[in-house]
Amino acid sequence: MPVSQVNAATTGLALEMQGVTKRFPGVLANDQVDFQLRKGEIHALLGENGAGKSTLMNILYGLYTPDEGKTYLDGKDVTIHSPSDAIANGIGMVHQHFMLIPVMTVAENITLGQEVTKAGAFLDPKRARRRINELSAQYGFEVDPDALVADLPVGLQQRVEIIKALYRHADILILDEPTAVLTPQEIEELFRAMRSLVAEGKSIIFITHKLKEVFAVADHITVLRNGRVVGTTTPAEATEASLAAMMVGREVILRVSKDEAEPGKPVLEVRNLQALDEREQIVLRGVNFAVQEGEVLGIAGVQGNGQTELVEVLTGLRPSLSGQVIIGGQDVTNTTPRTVTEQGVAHIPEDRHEFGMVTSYSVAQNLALVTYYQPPFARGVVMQDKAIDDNATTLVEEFDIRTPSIHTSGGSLSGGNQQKLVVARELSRPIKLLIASQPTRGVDVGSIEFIHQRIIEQRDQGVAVLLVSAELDEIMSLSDRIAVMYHGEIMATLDAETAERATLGLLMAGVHPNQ
Amino acid sequence: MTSATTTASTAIPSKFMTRSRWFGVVYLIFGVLLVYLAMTALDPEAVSKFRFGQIEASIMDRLPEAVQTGLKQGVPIPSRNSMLLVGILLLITGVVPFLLPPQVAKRYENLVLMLVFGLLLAAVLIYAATGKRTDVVSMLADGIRLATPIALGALAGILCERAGVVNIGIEGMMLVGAGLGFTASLYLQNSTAGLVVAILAGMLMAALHAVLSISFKVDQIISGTVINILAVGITGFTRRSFLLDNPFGAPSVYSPIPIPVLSDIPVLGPVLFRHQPIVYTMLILVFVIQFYLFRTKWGLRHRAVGEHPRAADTLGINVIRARYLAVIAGGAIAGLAGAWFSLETVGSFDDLMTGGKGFIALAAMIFGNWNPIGAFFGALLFGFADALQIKLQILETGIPYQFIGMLPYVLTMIVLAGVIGKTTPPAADGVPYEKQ
Amino acid sequence: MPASQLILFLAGLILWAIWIAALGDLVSRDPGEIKRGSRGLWLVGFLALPVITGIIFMIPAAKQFAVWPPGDLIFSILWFFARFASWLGLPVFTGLDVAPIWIAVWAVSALVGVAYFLLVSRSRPTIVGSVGDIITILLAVNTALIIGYFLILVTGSDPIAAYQGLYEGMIGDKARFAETLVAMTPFVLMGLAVAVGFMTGLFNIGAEGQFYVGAMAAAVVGSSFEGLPLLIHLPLTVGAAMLGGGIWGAIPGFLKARFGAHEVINTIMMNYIAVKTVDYLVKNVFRDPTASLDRTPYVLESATLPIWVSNSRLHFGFWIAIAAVAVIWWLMYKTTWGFQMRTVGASHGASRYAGMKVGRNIVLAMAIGGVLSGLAGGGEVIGLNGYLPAAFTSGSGFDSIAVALLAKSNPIAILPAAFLWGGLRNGAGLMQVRAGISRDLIDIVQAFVILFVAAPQIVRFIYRLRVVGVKQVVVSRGWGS
Repeated sequence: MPVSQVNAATTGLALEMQGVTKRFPGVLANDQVDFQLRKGEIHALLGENGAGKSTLMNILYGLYTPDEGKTYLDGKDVTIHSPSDAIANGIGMVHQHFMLIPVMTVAENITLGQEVTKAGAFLDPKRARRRINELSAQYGFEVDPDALVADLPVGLQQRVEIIKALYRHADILILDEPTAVLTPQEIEELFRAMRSLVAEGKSIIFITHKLKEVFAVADHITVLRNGRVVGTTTPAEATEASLAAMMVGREVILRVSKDEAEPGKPVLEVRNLQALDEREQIVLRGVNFAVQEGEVLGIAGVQGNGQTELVEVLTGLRPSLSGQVIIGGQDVTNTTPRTVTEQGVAHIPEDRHEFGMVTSYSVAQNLALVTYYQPPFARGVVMQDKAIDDNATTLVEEFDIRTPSIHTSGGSLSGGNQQKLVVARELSRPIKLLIASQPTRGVDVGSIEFIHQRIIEQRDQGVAVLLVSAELDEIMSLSDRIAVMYHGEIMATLDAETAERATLGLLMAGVHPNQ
Repeated sequence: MTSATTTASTAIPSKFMTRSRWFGVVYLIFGVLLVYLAMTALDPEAVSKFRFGQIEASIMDRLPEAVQTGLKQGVPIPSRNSMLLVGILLLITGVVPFLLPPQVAKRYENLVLMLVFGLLLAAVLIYAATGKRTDVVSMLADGIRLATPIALGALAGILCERAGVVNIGIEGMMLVGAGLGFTASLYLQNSTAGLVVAILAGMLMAALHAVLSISFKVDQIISGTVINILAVGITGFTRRSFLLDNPFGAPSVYSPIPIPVLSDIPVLGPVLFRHQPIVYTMLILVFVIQFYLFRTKWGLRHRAVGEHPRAADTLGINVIRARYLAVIAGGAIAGLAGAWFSLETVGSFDDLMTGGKGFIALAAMIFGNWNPIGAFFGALLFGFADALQIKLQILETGIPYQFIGMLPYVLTMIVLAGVIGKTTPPAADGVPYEKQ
Repeated sequence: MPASQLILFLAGLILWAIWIAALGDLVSRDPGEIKRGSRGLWLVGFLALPVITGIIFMIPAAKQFAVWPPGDLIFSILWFFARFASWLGLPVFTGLDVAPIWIAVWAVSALVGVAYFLLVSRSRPTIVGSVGDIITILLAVNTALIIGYFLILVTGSDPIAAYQGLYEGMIGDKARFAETLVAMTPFVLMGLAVAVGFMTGLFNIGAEGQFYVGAMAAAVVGSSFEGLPLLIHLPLTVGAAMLGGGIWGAIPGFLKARFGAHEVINTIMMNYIAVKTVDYLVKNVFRDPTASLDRTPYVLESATLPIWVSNSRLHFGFWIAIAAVAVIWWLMYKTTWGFQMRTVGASHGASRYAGMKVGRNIVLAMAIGGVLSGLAGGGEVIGLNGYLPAAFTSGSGFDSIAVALLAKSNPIAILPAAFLWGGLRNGAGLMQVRAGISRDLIDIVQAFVILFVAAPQIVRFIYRLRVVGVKQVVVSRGWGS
């Protein structure tokens, strides 16, 4: 594909990166990447997880040093060694994981590093507040400078991040996956804000892996795959299918093929469940639902609406305040994770590094992690190494876990293989209920398909599946019924066949569409 | 992480037995014990006499005759009734949490805790001084004096940990400060030079901790332990090589410097304003560091580095440099604390003379929730416990001195077991920063 | 001292480092990667010269130990083995008395290494996993000794004489070797105590206090119950020591599990409390009224650990320690209990997810640590002293941490680590006599050993090694709570 399908009027370029190459041990993250950003445009940088988008932008922002390549700003050759250089050159970045300090105020977060001071040393909160209010007014971003960041909703935190960049007089704004944490409505609002920033003469680089968003807001699109630029195009010239093909290098199956569900009797019943989060704030406000044999219930929702805590309560990792969890007819409310497991529950946790595996353990040990104390893995208190190894050999084969040996440490596997390891362990024992939380996060396309198939297989064998995911597409393609969670409650439960994206979006934002 | 969108619109169902109320129960038990003790163990006729330090003649002359004799010979306090009073006050503090709404009780929890500690202190003193005489003012002054190394150690800890480096090696830095500072003051025959060497030695040890934990990313607790072991070796070697038979006589310790005018205030003067120089330095440093951390731009950056180093890095703050500076500055303060032992207190150096004060300092730091002023109050708690222990040994109460000597250690464990409620260390405390 | 000696000393060490790095590289490689010859052939080449020379040097020394009965025979074999291991692992010591020959041996060995690098591996030496650990630690110990060498030089003493004294004091003859084993015994047990903590993600600085409590319990039980047969009294006494230490260890474990109170500070506080409590008990409660100094009564014959090597103080506590190593190794690596504790140590989240009880395992690990340290304390009383004096300071709490770090928390590796530690402590006396240098120098050398072991990056940097897949101990996860 030609490098550029667009007339490159060199005069209008805010930024040009040429031949950028960055190697990490074992990975070529960026390979001779060329990238051009025109003044006053929104330029989408599209690609799968791990395609090298964030690496490229971290290089631009001075967080990584490239092995090769040049950067030009307004036609001038610049070298950016550190974020300070980037800031001095008018580049601002809103990171995917916000770079905000929760225990400090909005004003402190915004001014940090370029504080408003008296006599060059002492903080001057009054003048800082005034400066921020001026900026807010100028761009139409309302935010209270004295609020603690920890108390702000995610959407507002993102605004603070943007103001932080504007405070430093950024002309080029990098937004790294800014929509991941927002509701569809908040996303609309963000897009409006982006357009108004562009109208003020700023240029925006918008990193995403979601095709629809690209069409909604971008002027130009650059697609990365495996660290290389696949092509640059415009929304007018491209279609969703053509972009998808550019992203993954082949046609993508957007829907998982599956038969009609044959739901049986309920396996998991949740009644009026309430629970607190780490900060002792109420986070589940009376959740009710049931999952039946042979069906997939998908829980949709923007991250942070209580899904994490819900799964933790169901699996015994977090105490509930009130309410009931009934699995297979037995009340397991506030029992231990072990009791829940022994009820025939498999749990694919959201964070495989924190919960799902021990990175320093071998693949074999990780595959025995949950039932290590039962035969054949243990007789009495004595562990049976042979049985553990045999089990691992079988599962590695069956679940196609790519590992040099079963004695390699789990942490040295790739993300997709680590996830397959967790899935293999959980699905290898007889189960009644599968709780899968973000089962494909940070996983390559091949493994995603594999994991999806396995989940559907379980459903077809009569297992009840509770799927929690922030990816609406995943929910829509796997689920038989979809429950939307907002603010610690189930807003509604819809039939997956008839559920529409727009309806789900409204529910995710806490709005009942028919009200 | 959970989102912050949740608001407290739904009320959390509250338990009846809140923390404050559990504490109340403990206070009630103490109160009952004291009342029982007063009624049974104490002679109704017995008095405990308390003196209040030396009072300036000019002031004394203006006081009524009776007060004058009282102050000279010690104010007689009926042991039994005053013990009863303390017991009843404790009973009241125990009941109050059950009468107040939980949120209000919670807000004053730590204040009440300090009050109860004071009451218990008074009870112990009344009991110990039954039929005897003791000087309250000298005990309070001693408390502040003995709180000095703990407060300084806690300040050192705060500087390090607010920048995200756990420093368990404060004990070692103190020890090296004490040992090398003393050796230098002896051989140079100059106590100021000794002080400078003590501070430099602390900084050097801290620099080693910084290299290990920041650059080499060694586990910070292990690195701190290495510092502690190295300190024992260095000071032991120094003592046996240079101090055991040295050609110099025993040096004098720093003499107290009474602050003009202020030191003449009755009671308050001797408690606060007749101290040796390192004590004053500690008092000043508490406020300076509090101001630095929360009112200056460097302090803001310092805290940012300990809370979210990557965020600080993306704003162009040099995380590694900030951490190095913080740890080394902490080392300087720990070195100063070391000088307190050898140069200001005894005028000699013994193996292991810091006696765990560096670890107690960390407890004070946690007590103060990583705030200098809070940590100062924590240090005072330990200082007063220490002073009380000395007082009790003098008063010969019959309690074995070994058990009295355990008081600060037991107190530390109680503090760490969360008596002061939930504390929050800096978010990145103990996590090495990996530049990408 | 002459400069030529210094040059020989350093040259020998560099040659040794080349040899051991090449050996490590060879062992770490897949057989397929070795282009010329086979791994076995190269191994023979690497080991031939030092082994032959070592044996030749050992034979005359070994002759003086051809003794019977069985205890002495086993002891002689141990001694031979220890000397030989020190020849291979600690060239700083072994070469001192025979410098030129030693240099020649290492020069030829190093030539094999250079040949290996030229013919087989042209990259920087890569060493993997446990091989990497062993080599890094050997280099760390030798580097610390070199620093000590210069420290001695700076203070104006003769480092060669000092190190000869140190080495002979460690291992030079039967009596000193027996004393080294005596000194190593508590280090083995307390090192295990700390290692079990490390494996469970805990930092047990309280071995010292647990040691005192165990010693106290053994002293009391061992001196009471006159008339009990040995078969009952001795186990009872040992059991009391284990129980006392175990309880002392479990308390900070409980505080950690229940309140999240950090075990580092709590164990240190428990140490001070133990010292004061024991001091009180010895002086006021269990004092032997007939003794002139403050101490407990003598332990009865029926509660005393027998000596197993003639004309020495080497008691059966040594074998208890060896047995403890085996038991702990089995417990930690072969049982579900150990699996649980190690999982808790690796990740609280994953262990909860796998249905393990984090708190219970923390208390268990601390209690096991206490039991081992208590055993060490008890062993010192009933095997060595026969009583517990009031001013009984061992200072071995920090040493046990060092031993555990040196062994990378591996129960088997605790043995050589404790041997080195006990040996350095024991040899320091002769070093002081020979070179007139304070024995505290050994403390500094030991601190450097730990420093280099804790920060292997420094050693790798100095010797240009590339190590893959080595795990580091992680214990600081903030302050808990």
